[in-house]
Amino acid sequence: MRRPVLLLSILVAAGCVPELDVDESVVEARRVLAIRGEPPEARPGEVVAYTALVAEPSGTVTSLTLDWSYCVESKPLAELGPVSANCVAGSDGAIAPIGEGPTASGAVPIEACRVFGPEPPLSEDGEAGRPADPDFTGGYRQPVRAGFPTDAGTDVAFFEERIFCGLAGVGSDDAIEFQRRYHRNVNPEIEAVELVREGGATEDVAIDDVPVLAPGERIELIVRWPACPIDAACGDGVCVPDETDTDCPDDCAAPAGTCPGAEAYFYFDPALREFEVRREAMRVSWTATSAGFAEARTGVDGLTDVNESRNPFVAPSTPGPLTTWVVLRDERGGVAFRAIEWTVAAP
Amino acid sequence: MKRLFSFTFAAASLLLSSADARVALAQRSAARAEAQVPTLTRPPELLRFVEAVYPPEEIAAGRSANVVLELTIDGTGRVTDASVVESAGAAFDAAALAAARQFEFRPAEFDGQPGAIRIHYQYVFTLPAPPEPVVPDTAILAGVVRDEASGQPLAGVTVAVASPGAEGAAPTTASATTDAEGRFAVEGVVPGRVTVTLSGGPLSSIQTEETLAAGERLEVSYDVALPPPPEEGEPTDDMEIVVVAPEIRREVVASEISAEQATSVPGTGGDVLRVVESLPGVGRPAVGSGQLVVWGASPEDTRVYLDGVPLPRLYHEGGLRSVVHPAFVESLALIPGGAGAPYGRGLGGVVLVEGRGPTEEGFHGTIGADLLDASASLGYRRANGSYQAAAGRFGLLDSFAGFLDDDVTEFVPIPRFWDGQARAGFVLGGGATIDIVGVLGGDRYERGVPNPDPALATRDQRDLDFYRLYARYRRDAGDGTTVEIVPWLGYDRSYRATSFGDLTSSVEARNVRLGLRALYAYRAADWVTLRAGIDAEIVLGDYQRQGSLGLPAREGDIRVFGQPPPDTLSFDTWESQQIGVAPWIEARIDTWNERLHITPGLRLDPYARSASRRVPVDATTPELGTFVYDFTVEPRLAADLDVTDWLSVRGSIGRYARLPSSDDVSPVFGNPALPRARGTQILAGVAVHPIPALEIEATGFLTTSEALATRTTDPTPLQARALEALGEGRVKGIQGLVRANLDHGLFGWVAYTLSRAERKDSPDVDWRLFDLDQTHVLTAVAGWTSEFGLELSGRFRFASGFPRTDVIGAYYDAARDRFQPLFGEHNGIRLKSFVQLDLRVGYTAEVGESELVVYLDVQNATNRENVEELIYSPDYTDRRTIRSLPILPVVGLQWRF
Repeated sequence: MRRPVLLLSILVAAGCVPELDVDESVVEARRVLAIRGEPPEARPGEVVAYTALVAEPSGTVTSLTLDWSYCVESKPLAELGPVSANCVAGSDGAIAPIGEGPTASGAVPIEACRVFGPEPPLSEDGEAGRPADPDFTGGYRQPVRAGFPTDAGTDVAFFEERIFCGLAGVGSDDAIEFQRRYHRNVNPEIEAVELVREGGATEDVAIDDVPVLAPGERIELIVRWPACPIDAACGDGVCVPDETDTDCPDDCAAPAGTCPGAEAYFYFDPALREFEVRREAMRVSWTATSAGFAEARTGVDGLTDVNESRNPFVAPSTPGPLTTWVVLRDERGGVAFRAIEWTVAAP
Repeated sequence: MKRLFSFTFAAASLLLSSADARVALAQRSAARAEAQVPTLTRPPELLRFVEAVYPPEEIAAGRSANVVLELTIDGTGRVTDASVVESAGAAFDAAALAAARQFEFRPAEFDGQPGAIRIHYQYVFTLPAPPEPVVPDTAILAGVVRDEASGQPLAGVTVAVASPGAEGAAPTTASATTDAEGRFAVEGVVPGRVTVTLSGGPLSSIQTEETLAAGERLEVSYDVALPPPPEEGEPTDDMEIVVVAPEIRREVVASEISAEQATSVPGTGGDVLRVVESLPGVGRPAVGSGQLVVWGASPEDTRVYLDGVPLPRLYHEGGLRSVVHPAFVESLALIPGGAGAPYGRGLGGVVLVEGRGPTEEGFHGTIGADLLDASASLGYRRANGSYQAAAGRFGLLDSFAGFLDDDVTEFVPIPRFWDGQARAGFVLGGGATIDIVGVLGGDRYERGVPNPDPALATRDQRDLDFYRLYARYRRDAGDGTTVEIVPWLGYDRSYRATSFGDLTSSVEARNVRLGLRALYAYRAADWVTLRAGIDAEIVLGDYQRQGSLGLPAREGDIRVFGQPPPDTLSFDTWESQQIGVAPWIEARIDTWNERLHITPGLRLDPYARSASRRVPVDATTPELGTFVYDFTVEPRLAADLDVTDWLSVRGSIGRYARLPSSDDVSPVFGNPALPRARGTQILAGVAVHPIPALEIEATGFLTTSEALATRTTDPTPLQARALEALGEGRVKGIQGLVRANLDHGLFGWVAYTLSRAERKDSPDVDWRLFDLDQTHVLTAVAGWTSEFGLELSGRFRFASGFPRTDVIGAYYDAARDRFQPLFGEHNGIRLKSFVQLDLRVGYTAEVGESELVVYLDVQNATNRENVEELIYSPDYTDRRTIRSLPILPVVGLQWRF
């Protein structure tokens, strides 16, 4: 007997945690699904274009006016959220407007590396303060605020633009090494979306396609992204960390060759105080106007050389239109998304 | 009896003397006819005198007398006939005749030849002189020793009476052992104030004091709160543990409970130390936390000592078991506040665990197991009190993990734990003993929740190990002079790691600890005892921490259960050396006919800390260390007044300090310059004992603390200032205890604490509730132990829910594809109150000369759905509760031999 009553205590302990019957993959009200910055990594002063993917139960919202602004206030260490409460509230002095509209472009604040990056801020008495901590990819982020109207009033979403600031607390040699071998992130691209029907038949879903599903049909969706090299191979068109514009100008001379997939990037390990080359982890968010996805999110970690992610889906039982969205994120803040319109109809 | 006597005979008068008698011989008459009879040439000579028995009734009547006898002596000197010539009464006559018939003489000689003769002999009975008056110079302490619970006499208890020597003289000790009726009489006690020690048999050493006058016979009755004495051949086991507050100090407020009762309390699973959570002043810990919240103090503020040696914690991870094997627990005391000068480095309570070796001669041990763990102990005690013993215990839960669904083991932490102890005790003579003890404990805890999205996969891992090795030398001179020295060595290692996706936050600490506790107590006068000592502790540590600044969470962090921490990454590695050498002194003054006891004390606590880094690691900045030194003066004052025999009032006030946590002095995650937190504790209470079987106590308390380390609220803090010593705390409340020890094995208590614990994270913010504040904590325990080995007990607990910060909204974090909560008032709501009934039934069966104990411990017998935590939907639009454990039956078995 595999599950004896003997360990009732432990078994029931698992039952102590309630099931929150929430399907995150279902869009039940207007909401932002993703924000994309182009470029996804910028220096202070560089102009970045921001685009939001907004969804509602009826489908993609294309003409929504968002109120874009930069957060310019760092948060106290006592606040554990990603941005300061004043920025969330939109308090005066805490945000700097970018513009309004479905998209907006604005220069990254000049002080971004001092407020949110490795440059020590000045404290009230003029002493050098504590710089911001990097994220787990070694990067720093400039918060971007997007306010938008909803049925209940105004909602807000935040995006974080990766800012290229260099490293904190390293010597000049390491700083130069980092500047030479770190290549700024680029947004990923969704190379293909495929659906696999029961029986194994695979179909490409092009951008403007409107595939047809039978009510209750079980399929599997596959999102693919380009394969990116991690090892140096001069001439492959991609500048990886082990290549520089000196030893491989074909790949690394400006503009350096990039790869819109799971890129290799140069990382400074603060524990070992040495550099290493990592591959980006990739995440895929799956949402739809109707329940059906087995998982709301899937992904591939940086150690796995796989360039796709799969998710089973069950079509609604009632005929009608259906919208699904896939959002592809790399771990350095790059974003790609696609909306897929479906028709659910009896065969 | 001394006597004077004389006799006469007819032919001659002679004077005979001996050491004890004056004898007169007289010739009664001249020879009747010199010509007809031979001439007496040598009178008879008394060779063997036999003393007559003085008739007692005549002594009582005060009469003396002369009896004249006629004795016929043959030619060999033997008395062949005796008769009364002049009577003095039947009693005197009979006594004189009986004695005289045993006389032996040198025969009389006639013309040089032996011959028979008849003589008169006067036996004089003289009253003995009255004895010289004896001035008594000693006293007698006599009485009876009984079991307080049953009223039954305790046989085999040694009652030792130590009298202080006169000036310049050595102290003296006299003792006696109680008989089958529990009676004893100690003679030859030097008068004055004496220390009476009861020990032996089923009894652990208990001391009290009496005052005796010269020549006095003081009758006393000692009713001791102990388990019933073991029957003949019954082995000693952990059921005989005596849990009492150490007699060495009388704290103003301290909770005591017998181990027999403690092990019978549901929820303890036979682990004596787990009864702490049912005592007054102790908050209910969150299930699985093992935290000890005493009077609203942070868990790390309550110190735990085993034989005076600090332990890193009282419970294993998860709170299922204590870290000290119960077989070697002599006593337990919880001092929730107002601890005396010997104790410091904490702003909360003090848990004192006294260890011991085997109490019975020969080999004895235990083997037991239940759902949680398996344990064994074995010890050998010699007749002189020396012993060797060892015990071990390891958790079993992980052994069953293979039988569980993977999703259960991934979500529910399965703690693994073990602990062990080895002890050797030696009796050195002169009241001195030394114990050499090694203690270890370990915990492993791991769980992981996988997710198709690697960024959402989580994993927790905790490794905790500690080791202690110490020697404890004690000498009790018997005159109130006590010496205790405990040098100790320890090593602690802890590793905690939490992973959210690719971000792993971890803290690893390795500490080598050295310490010395020493105590010298001296009775300076009948009314004052001086105690002085030193409490030294050195911590040599190296630490490594990486990951999010938000992990591990701190008290006061505003977050919700399961919320990922900030995904920023920091790293630090540092070393520190902390040295604290605190001399202390206190006096116990007994005055006002010993009704008023005042204990002033002073603890001086110089402290130094050096750390390897002053600022974060930076290739562009020279690596600088830091040195912090400070000195605290911690006065303490306690007093208790026995208003009547059944009513006493007490109070205390004192200053306390606590070292900063080693984790907090990181230049990256904390502040290397953190000072010690400081606090004041004030308490006052009343105790009523209307009848011996009933105790009623109430204590009000107020504690304040300052310089608590809190996260900085400065948006642009300086380097190495992630924490600031700006926090304040205050706790006020009252605790009550009603405890009954009734006849027929019935016992029980009701403990209630009403309190409010608050914190202030910086001077410019308002007070808020402490994260672990519980307004009401009520614990009611009742139990019954039958003569036939059956135990029944129950525990009812009610506790206010923990404060929580409500979520009033959320926003979408597009960078991480998750919602972030927006919070309302800090700790502005509470979890639902906790109500639980636990039951226990046990049975002890004799198996030959051993015992088999089986018990069923049912926690949450009513299967009530208590709330342990709030959990939110991913978008924070729905809130549910995580329930506490449902009904949990645990069956245990133990063999004692």
